[in-house]
Amino acid sequence: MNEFDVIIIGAGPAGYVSAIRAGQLGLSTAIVEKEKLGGMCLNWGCIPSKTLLESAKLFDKTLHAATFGIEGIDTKAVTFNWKKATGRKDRIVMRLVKGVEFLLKKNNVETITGVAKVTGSNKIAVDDAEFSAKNIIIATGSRPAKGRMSAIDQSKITEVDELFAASEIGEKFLVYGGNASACETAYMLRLLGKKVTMVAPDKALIGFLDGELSKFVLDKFSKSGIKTYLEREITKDGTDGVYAGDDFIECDQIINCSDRTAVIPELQNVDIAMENDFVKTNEFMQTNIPSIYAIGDITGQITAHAGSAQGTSAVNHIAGIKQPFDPLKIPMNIYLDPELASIGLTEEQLKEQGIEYRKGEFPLTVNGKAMAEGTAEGFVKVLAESKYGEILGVHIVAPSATDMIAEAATIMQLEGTLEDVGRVVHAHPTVSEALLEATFKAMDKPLHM
Amino acid sequence: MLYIFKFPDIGEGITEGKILEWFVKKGQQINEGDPVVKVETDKVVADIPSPRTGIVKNVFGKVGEMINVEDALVEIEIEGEEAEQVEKVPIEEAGFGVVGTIEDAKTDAFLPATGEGFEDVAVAEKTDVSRKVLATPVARKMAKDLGIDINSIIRTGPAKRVMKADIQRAFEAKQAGPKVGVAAASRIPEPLAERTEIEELTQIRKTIAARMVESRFTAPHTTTFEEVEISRLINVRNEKKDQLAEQGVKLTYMPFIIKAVALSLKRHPKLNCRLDMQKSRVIYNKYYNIGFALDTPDGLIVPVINDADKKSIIELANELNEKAARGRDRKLTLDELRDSTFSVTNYGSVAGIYGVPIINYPDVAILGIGRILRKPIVKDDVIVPGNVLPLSLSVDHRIVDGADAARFIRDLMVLLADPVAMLVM
Repeated sequence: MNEFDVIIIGAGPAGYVSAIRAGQLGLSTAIVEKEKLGGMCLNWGCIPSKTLLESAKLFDKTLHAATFGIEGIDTKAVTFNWKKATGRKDRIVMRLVKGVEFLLKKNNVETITGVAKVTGSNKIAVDDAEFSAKNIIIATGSRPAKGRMSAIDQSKITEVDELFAASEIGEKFLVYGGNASACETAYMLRLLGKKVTMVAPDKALIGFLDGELSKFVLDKFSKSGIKTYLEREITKDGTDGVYAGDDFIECDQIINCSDRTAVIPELQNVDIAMENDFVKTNEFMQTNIPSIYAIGDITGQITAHAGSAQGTSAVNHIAGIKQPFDPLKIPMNIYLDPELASIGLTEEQLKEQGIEYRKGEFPLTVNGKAMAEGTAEGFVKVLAESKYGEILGVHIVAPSATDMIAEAATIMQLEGTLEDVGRVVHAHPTVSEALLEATFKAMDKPLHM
Repeated sequence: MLYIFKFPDIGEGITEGKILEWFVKKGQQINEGDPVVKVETDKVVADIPSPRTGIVKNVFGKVGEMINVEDALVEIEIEGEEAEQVEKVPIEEAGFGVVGTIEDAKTDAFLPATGEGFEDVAVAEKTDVSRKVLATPVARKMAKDLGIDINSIIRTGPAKRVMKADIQRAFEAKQAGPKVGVAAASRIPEPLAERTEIEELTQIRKTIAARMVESRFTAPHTTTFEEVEISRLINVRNEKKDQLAEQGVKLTYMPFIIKAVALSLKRHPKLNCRLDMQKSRVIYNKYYNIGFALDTPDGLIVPVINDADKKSIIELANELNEKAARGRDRKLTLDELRDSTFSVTNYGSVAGIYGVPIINYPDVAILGIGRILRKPIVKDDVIVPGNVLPLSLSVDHRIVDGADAARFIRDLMVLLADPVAMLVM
């Protein structure tokens, strides 16, 4: 059968989630993938990087095990086997990819392998085969832009996925980029004891974060021995290194973590509208051509979970269920040690938009659980508009920030207020108590301060 | 396959309806075309037919409850059918009283709060009004703060939850003053129970109220009064009425009046136009659809005779009688109640010599017909008995000037005084 209700191009977290949802709604569904089910996230991005970061964190903790009362470890003898660590990563990835494959089958989604071209508002072609669909969802993702490092020998540049796939790696790294992926990669390498330098064209590290979080990252890097050059480009080659302006940076590997650009499939007979180099859509992820939807990285939302949420909105819309995608309620996670997580408006945005707000911030230095875990650095910051106390932003630096943010996401999805969080009993001892305390503080009645 | 049939969008901006009667029960077989539920909308009472054949698995909503377009009505188990593409089933059978498109999705992530899981809770015993509507904390606070009745606004959140944006919209609508579909609310003191009886407004009454407010507050009315001697028209009608009655045609004065109006409108396009202030333009209608006010047990409705200028007196008589009969039973379709370009109201049919009719907005004029008076008139300087038909013409003074109205009514009087003139026009 070459006719479907929905054809999805790209089986990353945006695409495969859409396919499962479409199958569940009873739509005849096909998904086209040129490489591997699970896309960037599962195979080369989120999951591999988190797996390797865990290895790096444990390596670092082992070196400091004596603090926790563990004796007998000869720290000089402890080494890190990159190949074994990536082997563990490969097994995890394989299990997850199998899981996606199973779910697609279970929901009667047909998988087509190859590179898809969009040949009409209801037609695609994969190699020589033509398929038609009442609706097409494009979820072809993104790739790091490379152009900015054009001044140097391109063979020196390693892409992140190549790094994660390598059997051995160098000792001295230059990580190019100021985004979350760049910071996570740099920090992971640093935990492994590598020499790491960052060069970023950006004004701040992870610039979209609340200013206090962005500054935390910069301070943390500086304390950890990661030298960071902001608002810089790599300007020329040197012996055993490169130059960023006048500064020579010694390195044997350059990791490209540039900001990502949309990967658009070949389009014939259709003219899809763009906005700032990404595909333009409405809140139901419909492009200017009503039968064609776009989700995930190509819309400029570069996180897996945003892509999945967009996919669900798109498929629901196709099925007549209106559930708009709200970009303001998407949590953003950064996996360092401690972790960072953020949702909603930052303090800078509140000021810029002239919204009167209340702020509550609670440091983790007095949180029992964080102290016990040995990571008593960080804070929870709650921002709420003044009149009704609706929570508009939550920003966390904490050992389990990336999980804690789900509470904030839930409360914000339900348009909750400070009082609502204040009434929720938070178990003790947990790091999440800090969110309760920050909320109390925003209401001017902190308990433990 | 489980199939969820949702309250279809039946057009005309109708967004809600009240469940009057269920024709199906859980577990029952239902065939395509069988009525599912009787719903009172603000225009018509309609039996909504099932688009599918199968077993009713679930019935959502109770009699007396308001439902919104897109709310699930019933869940139907369709045997042997695989899930298939969402489709739109056009329904145009007039007998069902529904026109438009039935949108039909297989599954809805958000069933209304009256879905099965909620049905047997204690609140079911209480009246619908006492049920607490789902709302987000911020929406509740805002509603209280801004004086918005959280129970009476459009809810857009998951599971029909009231969201912040819904309150904001309701507040903005309130700020903007009376608007389309919103009757101006004024404060009425709480009544004494022993000296009063309270009746809930029907949908049709709410619509009448809203439409009247809309017309009166949008179009500044001015009204012209006239009297026309119609003895010749009475003779013509009397000559024909018995003969036509034998053929089953009931001949009143209305067909003549409607014909005369349609013919006069052709010479006075300004009374057959629409004023579009938003786009700063006048739209002249080149068709003559005449609405006629009809008194029904449920209240006033205005069925429309399309292209009245092209119809004979007998055709008009038949159509008037037939539409009036169906209108009283509320069997008219929405199409038959819309797109008038001018209206006539015969308030004199019971009692009343003059009245100031309210324009059926967005028409720009309406003709009121009073009770025919047998009274002395001056003819050739002699006082003789005459038959006088009182007329009142209200116009939207934004676009129709007094002189325009006068010229129109003068031509209309010529035709009514001399019905033969209608033949030669």
